[in-house]
Amino acid sequence: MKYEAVIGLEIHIQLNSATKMFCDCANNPGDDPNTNVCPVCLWMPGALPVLSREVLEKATLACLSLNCEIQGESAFDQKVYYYPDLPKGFQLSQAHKPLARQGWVEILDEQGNLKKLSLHHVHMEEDVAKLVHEIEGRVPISLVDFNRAGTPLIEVVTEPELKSPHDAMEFLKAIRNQVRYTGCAECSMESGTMRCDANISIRPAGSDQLNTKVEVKNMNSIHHVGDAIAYEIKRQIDSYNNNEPIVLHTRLWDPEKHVTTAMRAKFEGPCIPDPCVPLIVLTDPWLEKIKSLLPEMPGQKVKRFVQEYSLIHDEAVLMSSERGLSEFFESVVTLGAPARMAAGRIASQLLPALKAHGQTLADTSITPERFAGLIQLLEKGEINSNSAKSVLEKLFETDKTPGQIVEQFGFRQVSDTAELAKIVDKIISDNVSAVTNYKNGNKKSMGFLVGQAMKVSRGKANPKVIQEIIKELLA
Amino acid sequence: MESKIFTYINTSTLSREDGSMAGTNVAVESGISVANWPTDAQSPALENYVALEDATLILRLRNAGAKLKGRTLMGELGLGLDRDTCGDAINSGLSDVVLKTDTTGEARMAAAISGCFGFKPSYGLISRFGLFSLIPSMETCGILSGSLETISKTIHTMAGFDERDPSMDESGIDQAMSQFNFQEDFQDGPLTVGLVREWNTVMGQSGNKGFEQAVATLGKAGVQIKEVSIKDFSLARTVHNVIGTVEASSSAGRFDSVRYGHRTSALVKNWNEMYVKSRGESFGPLVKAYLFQGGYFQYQNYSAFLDACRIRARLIETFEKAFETVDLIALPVSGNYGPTTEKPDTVSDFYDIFSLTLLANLTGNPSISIPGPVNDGNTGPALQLIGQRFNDARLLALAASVSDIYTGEMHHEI
Ligand SMILES: [Zn+2]
Repeated sequence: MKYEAVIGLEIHIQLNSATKMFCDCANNPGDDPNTNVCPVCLWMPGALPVLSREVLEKATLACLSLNCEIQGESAFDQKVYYYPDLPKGFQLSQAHKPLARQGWVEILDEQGNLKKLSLHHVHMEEDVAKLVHEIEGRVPISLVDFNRAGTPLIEVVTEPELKSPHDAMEFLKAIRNQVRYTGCAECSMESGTMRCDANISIRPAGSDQLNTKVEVKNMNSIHHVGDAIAYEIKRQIDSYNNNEPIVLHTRLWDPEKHVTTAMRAKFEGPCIPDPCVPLIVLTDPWLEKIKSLLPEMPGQKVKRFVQEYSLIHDEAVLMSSERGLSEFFESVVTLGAPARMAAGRIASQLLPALKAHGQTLADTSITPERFAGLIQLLEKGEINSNSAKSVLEKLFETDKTPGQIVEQFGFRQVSDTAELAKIVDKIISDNVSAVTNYKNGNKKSMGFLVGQAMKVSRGKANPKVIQEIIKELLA
Repeated sequence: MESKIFTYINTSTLSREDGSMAGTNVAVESGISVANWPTDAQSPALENYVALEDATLILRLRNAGAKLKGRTLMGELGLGLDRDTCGDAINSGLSDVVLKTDTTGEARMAAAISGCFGFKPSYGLISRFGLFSLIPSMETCGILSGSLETISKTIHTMAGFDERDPSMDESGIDQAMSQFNFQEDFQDGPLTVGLVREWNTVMGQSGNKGFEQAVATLGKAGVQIKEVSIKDFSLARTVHNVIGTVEASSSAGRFDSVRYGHRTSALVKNWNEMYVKSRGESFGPLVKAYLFQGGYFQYQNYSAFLDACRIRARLIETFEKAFETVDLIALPVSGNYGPTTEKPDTVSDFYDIFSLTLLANLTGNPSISIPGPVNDGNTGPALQLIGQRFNDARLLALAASVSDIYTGEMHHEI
């Protein structure tokens, strides 16, 4: 029998508000253990949770970026369960009245067609404390770090309409891109600011039944999510074929062994309305204010980049993939650099260089001004493509302008025909066989000869002029 | 004697001399945080717990010059009156005021037993920050005192907006505070007291002669008596039971024996066993039964909880409506023919005792028990008056008039 997978995702995204969700403690879970704590987030008796306005605003903004319908009324519930990382016995979450319902994002399916994936809802939730297990000593102990306790999360819950690992990975990328754009969250699976649980079941292809699902956790990258889902689908199909029943439970992805292993029965505790945090009532003026904070989203931006800057679609998608990148690109263009050349150079040179230097657009010394200067030198033919790379490298090392660097290090392109003719003469006499090949119609030899000339000029020659001279001499 | 009434006596005599509460001795039960005082709500689950800071209401009393006297005994985690000594603290003259959390009627009942006034303020008027009760949506800081004036002064001092309590009602507070500040004439026409038509359906109260006499006395004194219908009145007890136990079950989740409180000394295999054993050794039978019921509604019968919430909302509405035609609603304090300190064994016994006080906790209205009027040897010597929400000052003023009728100090007609 042919099977198809039914996949639903639950994605936790940590908001980057200054404080935790219900108290004034800093929202920096990575600090020294138990330094960002107070009676409220230690859940001591007598302390009461007061919802942060900033958290509510950021959560709403994130939901708007996912095209959700913000609910005029939402409320917090207590998700009851007992575990040492939650020593008050319940987690404040929104089970019955979420902040936002519906919503959608677009992805490209395996065939490259646009596909709309629907969200069921997005709700707010406080994070729990972190357990640190020390198993080295004679008596293993578990320590609890409350820095993360009470930090703000939103949970994005999809409809179970994803069909493949590809869908899931593209969906995660789309969610990440959209939410990152708002500046409300980092959304990095690697650093744990975005976490994804996948609910997977299978059914005969074409059927519309929903079978028992298995929850898979512990994927630390978008790729792991894809791998884990692929593995789980195969495992379930094998189980069906072997007449082994699928039971509701939770499995952990093991990234080393590339398998999922059973962890525990999936536990669904009760959710009851929290009697302390009041009903959240959002007024229209407030919602309008938050909507006005929503930046131009990547979808619109791609269209505008194509129209305004004549980028081709793929270039526009790339330049819009991150808000910081899109803003950098636009600044460079506004400063006078030709758009397509700027897009190409940013993609092929700047981004790899930043990665190599361990920097990001936000913290690098390569400002739009400096980069636009570099592109303009290239455009005017004052430097060649080769030197442009070297100048970029120097931009990382000094705080000089591209123009100053070109002068100081002699990167100026040599376009003087007389000077270049001398070099070409030498190359032609030194490479007899290549010359013969060229004359016999081997076009590749031209590339070789130009390359040799560039080498002699130590990269400074204008390759176009070189090529013309060679053509003329060998005609 | 002092040591029988108080589990902790404050030895620091430092207090401000200039505030509105200067010279007033205030005892505080151990479910209300006072910085550096043992604050165990009478439960081993909070054994040796010392409050980190003052509850907001304590801070306000302190700033107003109140003398914080010490800790009275209370029922475990505020449930019921087992071993309670707050009335003794008043009767012995050792305290002018006792603060006691009232979630089902505990403060009013304790006052009725000891013969003083017991007041439960409007929900949302006084900050709950620093209070330990099991039922957050009904939790208010109740007050016992021999003097209505002292109660009024104490409430006025403690009340008001606190940004650390999200359940505060700002517009309600404004209304209540302006009543306290201006002490306007609270009553120009004749006073109208409402009798709940359905009141005697609870616990077969039809034989409550004392209450009937008390009402008749009011009538003779010129008070208009009017029947009001509170349709879901007979369900109130069940509604409180369901919502109260569910909230309690969640609230008690934090007593995990890890960071404070009693931890089992038994050998355990894992942390689950540690929780279960420690909690089992900590909680008394009533608390256990109460939490079990809450767990049942949470895990097994959530729809009963939803029903209870709906009926509660309806009760609040009918109450509001009733107050359009009456100034006060009168009820006996005790549903069980006289207040009792007897230790209730079951949740049902517990609700038998508090079946008539719990209404005001469900609806958030202010309520007061007045000592004296009802005493036929059968029922407790107290009358309960319920006022409109955030009309706390008015209720206290009218309670003074009513009380005067009974003590015969009133020489002109109201
Ligand atoms: Zn905190």
